[in-house]
Amino acid sequence: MEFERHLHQVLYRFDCPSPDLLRDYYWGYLLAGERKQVGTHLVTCSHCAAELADLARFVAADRAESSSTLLARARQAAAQVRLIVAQLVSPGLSPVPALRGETRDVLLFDAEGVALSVNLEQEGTGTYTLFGQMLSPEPGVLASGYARLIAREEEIDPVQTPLDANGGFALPNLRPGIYQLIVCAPDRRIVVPTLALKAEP
Amino acid sequence: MQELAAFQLAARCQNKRPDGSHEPFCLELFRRAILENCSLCWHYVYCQYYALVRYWVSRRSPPDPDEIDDLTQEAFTAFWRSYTSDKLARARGLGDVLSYLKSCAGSAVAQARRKAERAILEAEWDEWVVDSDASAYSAEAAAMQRMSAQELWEAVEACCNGERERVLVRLMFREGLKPRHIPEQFPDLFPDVSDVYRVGRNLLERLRRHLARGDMPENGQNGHLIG
Repeated sequence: MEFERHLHQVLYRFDCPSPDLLRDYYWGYLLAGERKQVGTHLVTCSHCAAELADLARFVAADRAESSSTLLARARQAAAQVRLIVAQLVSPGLSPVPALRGETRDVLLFDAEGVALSVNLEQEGTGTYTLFGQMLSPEPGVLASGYARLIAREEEIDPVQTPLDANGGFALPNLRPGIYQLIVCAPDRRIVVPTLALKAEP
Repeated sequence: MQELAAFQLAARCQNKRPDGSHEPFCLELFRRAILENCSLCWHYVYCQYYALVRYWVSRRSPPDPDEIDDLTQEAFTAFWRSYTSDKLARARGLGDVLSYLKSCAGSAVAQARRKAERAILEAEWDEWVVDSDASAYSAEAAAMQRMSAQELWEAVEACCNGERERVLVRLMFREGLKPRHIPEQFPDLFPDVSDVYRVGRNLLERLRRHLARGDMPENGQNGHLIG
């Protein structure tokens, strides 16, 4: 049974283009080679053909609606939003919050009453560890959850780590680049939309 | 427009007017966020459109608030990663940018659906049992672990005797079709579900033997084997 299960696990849609690739195929944003590959795949894969048709319907769905209707619905949905976009409060209004490993800068963000500080330390071989600390006046708010760092380059896998009991976290083995930091605690989701980790000058 | 600070752009973008005169300000926010990687502009883009994206996601996913928030975040991340300056240059206006953002919500939900489908299939595949003791197949298990999906697929295809088996492995493994549904789609090849099981068992036993021995046939060279 494990043999068959393994086959299924590995082979199920193993060569299907990702939903992101299908999306860019839909928009005509793929290069000629990629476009041809996806087009060929679509001829034989009913799953992907259905996904593409579904995406096209979904994107087209609201075009008939007025923007005011759409906005009214979005406002209703807004009541349920629990996302907080962190705002940089130090060391100034830099266009891109940036950290360098050697300078021991600390960036401080405000997220509606919760403070988030991050700093970067070099590990020694061109890689860095991002340390973060959440600070809340309410005890226990940040006792569980996780921190997730997503690189803008799709080739780099996201990294994730649980928050410790004090709302701290460490994300090791990072390369310089542009990242997005997301901290999820039970009652809130805080996002730092863009964060640059810079190499030594 | 260029001289306006991010907060001024955000204020004008938020002040929606029926004539659409607010849209250039919203577009400029996107432009600075994408081209200049301006953190504050990303901040305002999130603030301005998070609820809308969440609404889009909520229409297509289970009503679990946590899952909706996860997928909304993933939609923004996909947009942040994918909507490059060349794509922005091709946008005819704010509507195109928002449509792309909406399609990111669609692809985030599609990705989640794929994961859910895979989990369901794995749970249901127990019915597709060949009489076996899992521990007896350590050699082929080890061989499979060393293979990429593409290599494993080529190995499976190489073990096929004829078109019927090729069709079966495609339907069973790549497309995840359940055995009982295969005769409905291919009654000529598989008149009955018992045919599906019989052909499948023969093929899998053959694959096991080859994997265990490490002597995979060349693709299409397996006609001499008796299943």
